[in-house]
Amino acid sequence: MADVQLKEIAKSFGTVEVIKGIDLEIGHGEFVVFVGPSGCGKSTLLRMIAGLEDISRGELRIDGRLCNDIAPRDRGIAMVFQSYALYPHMSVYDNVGFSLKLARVPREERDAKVRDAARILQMEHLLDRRPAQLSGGQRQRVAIGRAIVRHPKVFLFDEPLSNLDAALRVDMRMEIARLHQELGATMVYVTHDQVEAMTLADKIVVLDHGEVQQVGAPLELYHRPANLFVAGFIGSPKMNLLPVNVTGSRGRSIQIGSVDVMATPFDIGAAAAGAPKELVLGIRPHSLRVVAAGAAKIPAEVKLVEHLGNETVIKAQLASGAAVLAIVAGDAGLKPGEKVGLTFDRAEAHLFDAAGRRLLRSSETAGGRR
Amino acid sequence: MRKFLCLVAVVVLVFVYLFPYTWMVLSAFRYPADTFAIPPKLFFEISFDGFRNVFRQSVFGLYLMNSLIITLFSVAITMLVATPAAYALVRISRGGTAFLLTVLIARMIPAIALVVPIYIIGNLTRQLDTYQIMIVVTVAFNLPFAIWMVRGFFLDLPANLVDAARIDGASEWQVLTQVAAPLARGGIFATSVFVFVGAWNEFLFALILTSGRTTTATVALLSFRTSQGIEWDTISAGAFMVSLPVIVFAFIMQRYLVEGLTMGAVK
Amino acid sequence: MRFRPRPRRDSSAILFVVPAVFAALLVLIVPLAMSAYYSITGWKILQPATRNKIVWLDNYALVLTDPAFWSSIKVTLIYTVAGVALESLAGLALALLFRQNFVGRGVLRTLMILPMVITPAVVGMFWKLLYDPNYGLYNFALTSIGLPAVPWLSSTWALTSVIIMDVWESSPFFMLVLLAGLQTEDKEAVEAARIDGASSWQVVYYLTLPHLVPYLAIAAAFRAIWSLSEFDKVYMLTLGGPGDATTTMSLYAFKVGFVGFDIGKISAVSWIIAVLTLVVTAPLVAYLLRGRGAGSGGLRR
Repeated sequence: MADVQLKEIAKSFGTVEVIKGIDLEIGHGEFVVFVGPSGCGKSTLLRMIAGLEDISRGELRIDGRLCNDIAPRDRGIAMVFQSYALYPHMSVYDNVGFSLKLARVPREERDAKVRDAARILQMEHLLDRRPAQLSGGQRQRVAIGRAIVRHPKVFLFDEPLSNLDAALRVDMRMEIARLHQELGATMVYVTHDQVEAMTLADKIVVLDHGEVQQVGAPLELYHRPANLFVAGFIGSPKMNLLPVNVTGSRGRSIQIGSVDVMATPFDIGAAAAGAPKELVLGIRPHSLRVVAAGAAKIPAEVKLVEHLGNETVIKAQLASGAAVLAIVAGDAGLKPGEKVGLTFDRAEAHLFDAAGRRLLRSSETAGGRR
Repeated sequence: MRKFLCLVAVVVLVFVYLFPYTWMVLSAFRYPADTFAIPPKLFFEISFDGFRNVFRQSVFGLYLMNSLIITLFSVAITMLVATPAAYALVRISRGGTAFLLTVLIARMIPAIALVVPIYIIGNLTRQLDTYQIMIVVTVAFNLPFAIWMVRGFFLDLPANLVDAARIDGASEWQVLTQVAAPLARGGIFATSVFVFVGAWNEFLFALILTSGRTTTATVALLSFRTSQGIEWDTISAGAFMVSLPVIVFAFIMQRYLVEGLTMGAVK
Repeated sequence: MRFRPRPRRDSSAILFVVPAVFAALLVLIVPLAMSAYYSITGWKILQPATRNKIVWLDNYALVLTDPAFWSSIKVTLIYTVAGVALESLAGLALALLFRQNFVGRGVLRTLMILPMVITPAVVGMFWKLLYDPNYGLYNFALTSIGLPAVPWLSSTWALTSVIIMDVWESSPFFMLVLLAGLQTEDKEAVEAARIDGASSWQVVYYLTLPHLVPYLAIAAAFRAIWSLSEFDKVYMLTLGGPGDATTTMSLYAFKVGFVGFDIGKISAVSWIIAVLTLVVTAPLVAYLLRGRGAGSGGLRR
């Protein structure tokens, strides 16, 4: 168990900076997930923590110790790779025990540790096999076993479930969650899959273009995205985003509206005074409700209806031609071409300024914002 | 049916294509008179006179042994030097390519351009006509190719394996000896076969740097070439023995041979 | 994900190249430096007094005004260009044939590539037997079907004979490289073309050949590099004769150095040959390394 501190960490290849000065605190026993689109730098950042990539600038501390120039093996970390990276020429037993053998751990102790790890992962019956004889899920277990056996202070996972099929992914996700509880170790986990991020993380770090977009608990990110990027990235399907104009302001409130959205007041506190003229209104599909035409803030025409059984996905077109998604519980009984109204709860809607930053409501503290 | 015709066509083609060599092999085993019998004799009396003559006219046994000693030592040393070098080139990107380029360019300089100064160095250090000088030169000349080829096999290994091994605590040397080299052993083996063929077939350096004591079998063939009269059986027997090891190798190493021959070019 | 430089501290791997660099220095750089020096001396082995006599560029002038030198350049170029062109065609035909699926393909293919592993000196040797004007197989075959004998190793025919021998030896190399290229052909595109109504030959012409062009270029580049320094086979077959008819650059250098024992002159020849070869082949190597240099994966990321 250990904490990890990143201070102004940056990495550049030549003149291209791919990680742009990241500050991050990862606490003891915390499960932190780096999430972001491909190319956002999340894997590079993880590999920098592992010591597989140079740190161009900044400080990396693991358990308080400056680790910038410490070899990977001396950082007290273990890593699980997307491709498993099992040694194909060694048995499962030797794969798991390789690090101990390199560290010249006596044979009996090594054997005990390997068997212990195998027991934790319920793969004792696989020890004599070669990686090629294992299924994807079993290989992933071995890869995790290889990490466990080192009793690392920090576990690093680089998209460990990406090569598994959907069903197995759910199983292994739960397995990893169980391991985290059982071992109580600090874990850093990289994924592009927001479901993994939401379900596993104590803390999610959303990255884009080598910069931290937001750090926070999964629900915090969901309910209070700091900016358009996070709003669009977290939550599935994506948040509907509609450009709106500020048509007036009064005290702590502004009035917004557009061709699509009827005038609606928003309480944005002190920011109301200097609010810009153009904003983006963000509403999650799950926050939109379908009501009779004419009665709602957003008039729309149903274009496509997908019945999923427990819920219905409705694609609707607004006055401006913009499309939005709404998801309603059960079977909505709507047909394409039908005119409807869409309505939403203002508490579940968000406003973003031209720079993409979310405007805070007066009820919020400065908390969810970076 | 189409497949059958295709097979017949290919068999005929291969037979015709290899006939020049087959002809020589046949000549080694029959009396010269039978070689030019008209009409050609399908069945002929097998004769070992050619082989007997080869060993009578020169110390061909010694020359074959010289070839073998020089070749085996060269293969072993080349691979011991080339494997770590190839690994390093794969791992150290900066400068590695530049080095490789230099090495490959060096390989393009015709051997003849280096042989005179090497001869002079050998003369000055009294190393002419020794195994050492032949081995050193053979190693140096086969190194670029061996490095290039082993590098190709290393490039085929997943990068994550090295990352994993380093996190598991392996030093670069341990990554090489315990992960990379064992995984690429097929390729390393294939490369050594190529170095074997290259070293065994070497001619120019042996022609110039050896004289009698360490003359190799390829160069010894010259003595038959210049011998007067057409001793087909003798010449063919000698040439056959020189070419036999590489042909045997080609068959044993079928799979690797194809891989290796195309490797440098295609990978 | 590619081209990730490693952390500095892991550069211990650089030590692994030290022996290779040492070998290169010993057998490449030192000899080249020495011959650079000798090339400006007038040293003839048979006249020890000439050892350190500096003659500056006289040797170079001597070589560059030697008709035999220019003749060797011409021979080498004809040999290389004709050989590579013919081998490309033969190799292509062989590859298309060996692409078919038939029983025993593996064994037949291995048989087919024997010419390129057989000791080149042996190849030169038995082709000399085959070309023998009176007892050689070829004239034997020609005369038995009533055709006139060909003076294979005469000054008019010798270079052609050398090229035929090289085509025999090296076409399988082209076949192999092209077969490897064929393996990467997009099968679906071929199927799509067939459905679109393309005949077998149209598929070959419009899809297969364009796909093979880079492979052909690579094979040709390799072969050209080797051909430019050809020695063994030609030495065995013709010794460069008759006259200078088949004297390649390497054979020219050999004759100058080990027949005349003129160290100064052969050193100059060595340098001229080295530079000429590099000028011709450097673009080829650059081509070969293109796309490989950074490494497309593997141990280096």
